[in-house]
Amino acid sequence: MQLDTGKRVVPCAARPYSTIHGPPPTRANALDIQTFLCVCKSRPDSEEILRALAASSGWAPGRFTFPSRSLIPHCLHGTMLPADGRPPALPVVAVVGGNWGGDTSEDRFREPMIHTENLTKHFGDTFAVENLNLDVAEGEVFGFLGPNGAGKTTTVRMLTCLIKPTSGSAMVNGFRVGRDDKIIRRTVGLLTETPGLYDRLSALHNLQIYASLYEIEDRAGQVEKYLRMLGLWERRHELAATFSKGMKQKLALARALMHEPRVLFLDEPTAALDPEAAYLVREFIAGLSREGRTIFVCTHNLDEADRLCDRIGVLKTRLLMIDTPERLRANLFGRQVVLRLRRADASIAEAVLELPFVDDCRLTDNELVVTVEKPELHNPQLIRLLVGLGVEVQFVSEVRRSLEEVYLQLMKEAEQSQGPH
Amino acid sequence: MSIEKIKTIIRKEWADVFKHRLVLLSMLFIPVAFTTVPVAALMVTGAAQIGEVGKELAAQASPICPPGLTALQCYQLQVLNQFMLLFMFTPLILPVTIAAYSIVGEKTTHSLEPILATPITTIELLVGKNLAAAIPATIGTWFGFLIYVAAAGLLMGLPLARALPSQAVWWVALLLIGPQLSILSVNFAMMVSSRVNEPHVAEQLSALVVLPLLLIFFGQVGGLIILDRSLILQLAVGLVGVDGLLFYLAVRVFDRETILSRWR
Repeated sequence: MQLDTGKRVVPCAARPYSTIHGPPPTRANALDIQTFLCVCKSRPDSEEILRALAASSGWAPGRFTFPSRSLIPHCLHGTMLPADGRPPALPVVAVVGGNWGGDTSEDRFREPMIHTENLTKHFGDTFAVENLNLDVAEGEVFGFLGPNGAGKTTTVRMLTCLIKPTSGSAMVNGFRVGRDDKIIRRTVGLLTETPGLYDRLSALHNLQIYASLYEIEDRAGQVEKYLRMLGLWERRHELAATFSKGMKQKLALARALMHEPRVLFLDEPTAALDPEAAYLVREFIAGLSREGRTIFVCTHNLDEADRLCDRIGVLKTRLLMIDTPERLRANLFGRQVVLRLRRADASIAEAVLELPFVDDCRLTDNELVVTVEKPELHNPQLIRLLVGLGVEVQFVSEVRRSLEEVYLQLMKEAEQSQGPH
Repeated sequence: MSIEKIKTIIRKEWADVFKHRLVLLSMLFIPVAFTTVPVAALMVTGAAQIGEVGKELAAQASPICPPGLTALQCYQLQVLNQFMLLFMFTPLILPVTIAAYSIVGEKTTHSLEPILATPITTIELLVGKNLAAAIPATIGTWFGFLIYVAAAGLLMGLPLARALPSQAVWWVALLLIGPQLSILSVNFAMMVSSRVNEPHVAEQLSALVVLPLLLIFFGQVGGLIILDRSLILQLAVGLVGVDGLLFYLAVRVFDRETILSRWR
């Protein structure tokens, strides 16, 4: 068995599947992280693997402890300390997933970067967030939608350890909110709703302050990298106060990214930006997602969420629905096909309704709107029926619901079902 | 506790707060004003001849006078010493402006949330803000004292300029009590700032910190309190405890959750 601290895949005995989990090791986080391991619970030899890893690292197995068995679902956790009490030269952060069931696909063992269980926050008698259960996978762009006061910002603040949950639990990047707050803060990036820059300081100075607070090793290099990446390098000596809203937002993005966080929380990243600036910021976020970073974005911009996010959660104190934008549409409205016919009458609609896969059928003028589960599967049968009935089909297209319609429908349903707290 | 992070906060505070014209003006005006008052008093009374009452006072003061001073100089030195309290007001008032802007200013610009999202601890943040306000206030006080000594020398002669800083009581006041009063003031201002939203309101409320010292001042004017070596030492010792308690309370009051969820 070999323990490797710097690669994504850690080979070890007995056909295990392992990945380095958590932030890339740096000297800055070595003291806090120590060694953090988790092993898939389904492996009967999970504890042995952890002990063997401990032994192979040259550290005293006697100091090896299992502080918690429920930090990440399906995992055991261990923290190792060297026998002489010295901090390790490099943190060893590993997740050892089990391929006990024979499935070796990486996704199967991929731990969620964000995991919440019944996460709840209330301020006095007012519930801000109630029983939020959420998993966001590594590399995913997750959109959080909801009206003002729905609890989006409160959720982000809980997940970035700015405020404490009233109840429930949350894990971010493999670390537990409320226990590993300092590590979480070090390994996540936060773009707040307002840029919150020091207006009387230059762009460069603004970033230098944060580079120091995040204890970035190559401060000058990282500051330059992100100022250049966001097109602000030439204006680095200018006061932040002189920047446009878009430039301020870019500077705030650079600030959130300088320490190379694996998880990025963006609270209304394009709010109050003009379309061009919003487009640039959105493109930048899409680029970050391609780098494999996990992005959690709160937004009111439904079009933006639709285009940017792999999955969307709709929140109104409670999580109303969570799925991909496509599935959200399908779940709420079903998938609808519009068939433009040369001539149509009520008998055609009745015949279509007889088909077992048709949920609904409405005839308006010469247009037949049919709700089916899988158009790609059922359209040929539908058209065959119509042709069989002697109907001439001129056009066939699928109705694409906007996310706005989905959102409004969800809000309407929520208002009907949720009583005031 | 990371010294590097504390230094970063101090540098940030100075770079940001001192670019605020109002803060900068207050920082310059207060030491100048508090030095001008005693210097003006010396100009009026310094050259005056000693009267009957003065002779009596000079006789009382001569046993504790530094050697080599005449009875008149001894009397004048006691007059100079009476203004020591003004040099305690300076470190108390100066940091109020900086501290009020450093917390409430962060509220109004929404810059505190990104700072709190970094791995900085509340103690590191508040120690940084404490020192960022207390250091300039202390230096401002010392600067005022230098002007005071120079003015005493010009108006009353070199022996007095030499005798004034040769008294241990001034060193205790300037090196121990001054910085401690600054820290007391900063922590009080930070506690107030954590609870209000307007920098001006914070500044006005924080200014209440001068009340205890004002009572001592009036006690001194009314002859009820004599600011002697013993009282100065008692103040120095007492302030250690008061500062510790106030810092503890400032950390408690500076609740990240309250600040983020209630600040608008």
